[in-house]
Amino acid sequence: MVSKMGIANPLALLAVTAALPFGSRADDPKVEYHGAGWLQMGRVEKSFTTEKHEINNYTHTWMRNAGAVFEANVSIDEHWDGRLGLGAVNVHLSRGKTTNANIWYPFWVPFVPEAQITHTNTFSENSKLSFTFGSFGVDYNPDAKNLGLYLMRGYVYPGSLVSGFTGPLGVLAATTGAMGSYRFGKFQYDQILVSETEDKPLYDFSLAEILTVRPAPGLEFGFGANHYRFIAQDKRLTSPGKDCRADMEMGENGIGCFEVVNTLDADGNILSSDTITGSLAGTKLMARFHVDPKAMFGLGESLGGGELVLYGEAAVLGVKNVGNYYKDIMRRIPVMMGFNFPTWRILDNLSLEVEYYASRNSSDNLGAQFGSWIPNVDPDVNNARDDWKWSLNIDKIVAGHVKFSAQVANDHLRVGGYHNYATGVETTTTPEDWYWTTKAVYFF
Amino acid sequence: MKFSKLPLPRFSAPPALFLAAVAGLFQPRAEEGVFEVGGAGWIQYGRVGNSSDPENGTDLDGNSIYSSGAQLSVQARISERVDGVTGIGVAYGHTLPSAITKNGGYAPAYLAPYVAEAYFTAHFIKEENSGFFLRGGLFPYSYNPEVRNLGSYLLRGPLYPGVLLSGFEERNGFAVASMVGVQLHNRSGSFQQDLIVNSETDFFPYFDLSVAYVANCNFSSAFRLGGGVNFYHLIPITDSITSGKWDVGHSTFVDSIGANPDGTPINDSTLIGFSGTKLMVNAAFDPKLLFGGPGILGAEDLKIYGEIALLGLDNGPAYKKLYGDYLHRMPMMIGLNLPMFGFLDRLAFETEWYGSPVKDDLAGFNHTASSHQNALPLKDANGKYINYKRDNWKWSLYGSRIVQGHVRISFQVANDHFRPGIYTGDGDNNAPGSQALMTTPKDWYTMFKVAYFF
Repeated sequence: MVSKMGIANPLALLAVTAALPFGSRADDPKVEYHGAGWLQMGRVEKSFTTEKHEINNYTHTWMRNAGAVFEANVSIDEHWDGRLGLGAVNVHLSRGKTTNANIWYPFWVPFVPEAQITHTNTFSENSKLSFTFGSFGVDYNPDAKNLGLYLMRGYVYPGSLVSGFTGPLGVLAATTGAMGSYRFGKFQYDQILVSETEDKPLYDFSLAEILTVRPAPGLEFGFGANHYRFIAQDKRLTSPGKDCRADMEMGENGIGCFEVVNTLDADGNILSSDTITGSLAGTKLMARFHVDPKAMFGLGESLGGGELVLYGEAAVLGVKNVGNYYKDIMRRIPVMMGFNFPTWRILDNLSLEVEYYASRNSSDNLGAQFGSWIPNVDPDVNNARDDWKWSLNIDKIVAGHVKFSAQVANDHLRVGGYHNYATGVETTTTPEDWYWTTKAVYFF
Repeated sequence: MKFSKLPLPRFSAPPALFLAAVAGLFQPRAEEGVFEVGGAGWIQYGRVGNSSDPENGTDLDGNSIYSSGAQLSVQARISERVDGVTGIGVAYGHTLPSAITKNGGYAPAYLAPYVAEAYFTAHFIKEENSGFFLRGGLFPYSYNPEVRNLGSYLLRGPLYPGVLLSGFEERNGFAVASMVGVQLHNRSGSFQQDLIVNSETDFFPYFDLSVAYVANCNFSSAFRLGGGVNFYHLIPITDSITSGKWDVGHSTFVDSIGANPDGTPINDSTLIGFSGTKLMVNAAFDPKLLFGGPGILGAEDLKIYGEIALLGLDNGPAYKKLYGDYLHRMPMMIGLNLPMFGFLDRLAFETEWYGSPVKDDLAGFNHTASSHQNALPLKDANGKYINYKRDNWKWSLYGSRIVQGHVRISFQVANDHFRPGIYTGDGDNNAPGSQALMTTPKDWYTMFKVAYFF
């Protein structure tokens, strides 16, 4: 029964949301300890489901998790420092339809938010070179509250997007590998070698490069490329050939190894079949911007640091056209924009993010988790109704150590099915769908 | 990290048994702006002396159960008025096999991570004779600190059916985190009161909010009297589940109250939900303090304490038939710390009477693929409600001693509500059984634990 637990859940991302308060470095050889605990609750208010999927109806389903992390940061000398964090979170799989509530239960999940060691050489105030090894967070777009971050999240083929309720106290799910970072003046260049630990096939290496430019106060641009799975541990799995058997290579949740295109006659009879092979590997490109008129024009001292900031990000998920599913590059370009509304420091953040992604493939990522580059196909679902996404986020830190957050969104939330029935279906797939969630975090 | 990759624990309930009370051992008190780390590790071994329930499978007598674990906590004193604690741990253990297994006679072992505590406390008034604070998160709370095993009825265990919990240094019996929510505490002189909003994480239906109020008053340094009310599952997450409407078939009690002239029965149907009200009073008396202090006795010696609760005020005909009258919904316990003259820190003997007609089994709350949870008592194979009439009396002898300030040795011999989880043999992939093993006066078991803490 346990082996059937093929449930992906973005709530796992939330398990690490308390780690950012640990961002401070130890200034002396002493070890610094930090901790955090949180409780999150929310509800799916509207979720489209077909009659076929009625058993997986998420409308009015509650979401909840609670957990704690603690971390030790040590500064070994002027060059070396390390971090180690441990955590556990109490979560539940989606309850789904009320009649399924009998198989609904919470359970504990341990996790390692960070386990890293960093070597830093500081050449001058504006010039620094560092290398990080281990398990660490990569957040190249700190403006993004929920949508975006396409370069390091999700896949290439299929181009299913991933979003998450991270907030300013959050970091991305830990990346395992190595990172070199060089900052010189107005430029910063990061190169990240990532070992795949999330999705099958495991342990493929991806290489990401990110250039950040800050030409003027309040203005920032970022450019990146991610050579996703450019070193495969087993090429047969990452780029399956025509002899691939999906049931053997990918298990029951795999979608398929290749695309079969049939040529039909007027009566619908198959005249010929063409097998199109592909790969999970591919190249992502990313560009982003950040504009802060306060800093550019010296405005608004009464405003908080993040207020009035306009930001955006776009990506190309796969530069190469493959078969019929990936034949139009314009449908592989997600674009998001966000704006932090002014609250005059009443809130720490009030932001709205909007995303457009014209993919006509299913956003179901269950197959991708198990190694299929072929998207899921469900003739009952109109994939054109989920092009627009949005997210409204609110954050407020009280007394320096308690943070309250809320999110109302139509995004890429996946509650993952229930019990031993796994899906990668997004919860909000039509414009009418939405959910809300709140979180209280205590951290020190 | 994704759930699809996670080795989910096969056992959902028994890990709670092993969230042992070690966190209560270390209570680091950091100075302002300082973080302090505490840790503990323990091993625990137990053995069933006698268990009479034939429904538990083959003879469990002599079967042993083992667990161990470790945890770390960090406490931060942010300011004079704000502090917080975070602790996580991992427990290792297994349930009790009721049949010969391939694992050397043991049930398969598991590792269970958990959060030992994760909460903040904001003090609004913090004076010698008065206090007022707000606490939030996963925090410990015990209104009856003398209790070692039995009792604590107000805040642990379900309401309908009124199945009791007990255990050897389990989190619910000690000042170890068991509440998820908020606590508003007020202390004024000898009087203190708490308002607690708790999110349900132990029993189905999960995440409903219960609201409890507890008050305690020390009438002298020697005598304490307390009471409380718990509006259990007052705020449901999904009303239809908590009320039983989601599955009327399993949640309805049908009682034949007569017959029509044609002989057809006249039935009275009552929908039974999980929510209701618990009441509790408790008291503690320390006679040493009337005679000038402990003298050669230990600080805990000779204390007498007790607790009575009423589990459910609903008193319609259906409730009376299912759960008995008020008297049979009233667990009551009394305890005495025997004089040990410093040889042990505590040797507590507790006894309990609970005349409930309900079988001492939590199976009705377990998740299964084939049945729906409901608040009705369990039935036997013939459809009759099970009532073990020989399990009304419980007792427990608990002893502990701290050695060198950092090692605690403790033991327990008891006939209580011990439910280690039953593993029925190879291939058993169900949630472990949750029936109490001690069902007759001649049943008993032992537990022994060594914990190191700093």
